[in-house]
Amino acid sequence: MTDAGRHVRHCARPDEPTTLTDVGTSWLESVSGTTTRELTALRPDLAALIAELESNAAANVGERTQQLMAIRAAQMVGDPEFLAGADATLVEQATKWPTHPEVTEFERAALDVCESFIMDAHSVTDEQVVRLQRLAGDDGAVGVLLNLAVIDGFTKFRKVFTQGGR
Amino acid sequence: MSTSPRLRGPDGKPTDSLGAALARTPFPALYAQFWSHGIVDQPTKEVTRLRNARITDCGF
Repeated sequence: MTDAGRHVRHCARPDEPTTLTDVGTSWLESVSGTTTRELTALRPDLAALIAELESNAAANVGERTQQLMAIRAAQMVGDPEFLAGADATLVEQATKWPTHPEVTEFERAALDVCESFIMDAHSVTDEQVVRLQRLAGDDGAVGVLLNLAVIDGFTKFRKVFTQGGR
Repeated sequence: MSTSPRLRGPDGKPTDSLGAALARTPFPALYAQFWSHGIVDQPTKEVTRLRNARITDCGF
């Protein structure tokens, strides 16, 4: 965790519940272990818009690239259930992306940015973005980053709210 | 870390407009719904947004 991240930690007041047990029966308990789609269904007005954004983002870069980035993010954040349900061939390719012969130059550039983005968005360099733009144009570069925003957010969202993260 | 605008606007000139980058995506509609609905009040959302912006050095 970064120094900045440490400051975000909330300090509970003495009378404030600090565990789910303290809180008692809550919606969190009822959804624990469920999927992202089930979690977002708690806000039906947002669920359709989120699904549309995910679909649009995936279409911008292609489902294969989107899946490779989602798998790599799941590996980095620690989401074993997502990985268990993913295509084994793609998991193998995402694991060995720097040298795997089936991974294209564009996918390599996207996965390179993916790793930096997941670890710390500050670390994404001009060179990485220029490489994406050279390979996929401005729209492609925006598409990769939009996918990463969705993937990063929802991978961590699952990590916080579900047992296995599906 | 970005050292210069990384995108070009409709006129072909470099821009740092996030709106221009996301205008052709469903994101604006989602963002509008997120801000105008839900049980978390807007001041709390804004404080959270500002805190996140500080951590990520987001100029927006």
